[in-house]
Amino acid sequence: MKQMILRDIHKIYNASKPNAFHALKAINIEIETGEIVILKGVSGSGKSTLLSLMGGLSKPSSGDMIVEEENIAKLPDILSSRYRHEKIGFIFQSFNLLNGLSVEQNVQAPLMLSHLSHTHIDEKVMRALDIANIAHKKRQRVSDLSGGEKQRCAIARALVMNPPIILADEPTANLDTHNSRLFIEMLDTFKALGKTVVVATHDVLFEEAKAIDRYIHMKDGEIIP
Amino acid sequence: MKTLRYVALFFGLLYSVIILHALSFESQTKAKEIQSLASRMKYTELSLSFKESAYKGFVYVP
Amino acid sequence: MFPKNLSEYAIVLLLKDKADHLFSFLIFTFIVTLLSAVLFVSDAIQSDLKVATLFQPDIVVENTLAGRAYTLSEEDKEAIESLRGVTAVEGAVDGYYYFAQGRVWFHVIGDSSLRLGAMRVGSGVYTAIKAWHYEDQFNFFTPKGKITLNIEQIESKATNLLCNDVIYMHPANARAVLDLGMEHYSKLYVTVPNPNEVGELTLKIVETLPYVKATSKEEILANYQHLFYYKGGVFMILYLVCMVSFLILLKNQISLVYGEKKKEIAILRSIGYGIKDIIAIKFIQNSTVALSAFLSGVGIAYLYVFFFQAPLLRSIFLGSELEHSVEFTPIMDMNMLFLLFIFSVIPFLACVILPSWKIAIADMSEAVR
Repeated sequence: MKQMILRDIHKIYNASKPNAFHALKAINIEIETGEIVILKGVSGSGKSTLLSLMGGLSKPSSGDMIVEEENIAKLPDILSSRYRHEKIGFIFQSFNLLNGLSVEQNVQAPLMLSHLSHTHIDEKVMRALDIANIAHKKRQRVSDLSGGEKQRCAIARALVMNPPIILADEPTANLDTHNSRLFIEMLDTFKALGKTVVVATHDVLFEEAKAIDRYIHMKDGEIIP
Repeated sequence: MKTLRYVALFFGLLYSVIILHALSFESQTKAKEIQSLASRMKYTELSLSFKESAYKGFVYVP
Repeated sequence: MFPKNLSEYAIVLLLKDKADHLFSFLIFTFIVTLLSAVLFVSDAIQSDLKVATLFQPDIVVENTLAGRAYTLSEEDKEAIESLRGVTAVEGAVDGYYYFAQGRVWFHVIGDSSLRLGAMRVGSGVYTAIKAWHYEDQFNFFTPKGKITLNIEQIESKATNLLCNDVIYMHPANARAVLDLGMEHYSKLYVTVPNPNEVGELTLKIVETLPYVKATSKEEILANYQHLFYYKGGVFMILYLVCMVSFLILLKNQISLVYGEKKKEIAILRSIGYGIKDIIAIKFIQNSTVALSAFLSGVGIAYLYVFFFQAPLLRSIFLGSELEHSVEFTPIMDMNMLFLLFIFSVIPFLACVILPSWKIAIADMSEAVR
């Protein structure tokens, strides 16, 4: 089943201004449920921009984006927030954790929008921490964690709402080789959980991953066939 | 929520003390005493001492 | 009103930035404490004054010239008595006696309810003379010699506002102490039964005796109100301090939303928090700080004024020459407190919520990269 369909997506920054920049041109992609896709390309090829659109962080200038039969291209804030909350787990390059809070408090963040009881919340948090293998550091402040541990905390947060889609933007950019390999191994776990995963990266280590179903190459905002 | 509960408890206690103090103040007795004094004084002036003794000496002609 | 989990998380985020919010809390508390304390002292004094002025004469006549007080004569009294509308004129004997050893002035008032040789003193007076070993008696030194009077009673603290520096004695003793002749008075109290005639008679008295000052009851009460209606010069300085502190506070509030906090908003948005959720969080956090600060400020002001009798602030209202052991009546003007709440809390919240909204509606994709 097609989980995500992108039809003729364009993204233009500063449209109708002298410094207008056409970041994405005529993007057409279809991603199946459970597929693990790598967006490959050098810096500036438009991978992160495309991932932002998929994650509902910004809107396309034109085109349609159908995710689980819902067009997310022009959703109002309430609905696009709900989409990000329920359907997407985002892993950022710089982790984007809330410094000053513990691992547990960071992972809890998405759940605090729900009406679940404390017990339910704790259960879900523990499950996510276990999957990401960071449960032993749950009370520790994220500012005291290493790069790899921060990454795992970010993964736990992305998983805690059990979203069907995981998006990762340059997840290994700030990691050493060992931790990068650990992340690549996580892809197997995502596959086992039935997640649809899209990773934007130019890290060659991903070529070792067996879990990857497909590569999409990008250059100058276009998909190279 | 625990934090908010403790904060609410603290203010609850503080304002209970304040309300108790306000209610226990004998304002009626005080009002009666002031009235009794005022009925003798008639023209009530506040008991404000002059800041400088020289000023008082200037105002009141011996 | 707000989901329980979201409220809890808002407090978690608040405690994460303890230092920033503590600064806001302390400044806000300081401002509220200062303004509430001035309000409480002023209201307490005014409420006592309202009771005290029940027996105020309709018109008070004084002989003043170039700001100095002279005496009034029996002729002046008769001239006023002859005016139509005046039913009675009472001559008052009062003045100031300088207690050289203590370097303070006592207000001497003639009270015919006392017998000759006896006096009643305010507690400030007693404290001053006791320091010079006067216990049951006091010596007045006049040009005509020494006059010794017995202290029959010390007025209670409750009436200190009116008689802290007062000595009541028989009018004959007062005349002797103040060297006032038998046919002279320091003031004349005029009784006018018809309140509509008071204004007219005040003018008539001045017409009849051009050298006098005639003040109606209404004017006296208005003067007192004005004196304590927290508009005086000293209060302007206090208000200026509060205003400057408040502006610093508002600037701090605005800065709470930029820098690290801007990224925090973007992160929360990226994991599914809507604009309304961000506003809710900021509202909960800052309402908690504002409400706590307001309640703390009012509470501290109450304790400062009504438990500790407002040291320092009391001197601004009542002078400091004579030791004042005033007891303020606990009064809280809820209308003014409500206004203070509205005019402090709303700008406080607005200075965070408006910038937060602006940041929340901005494109978050750049902020989270």
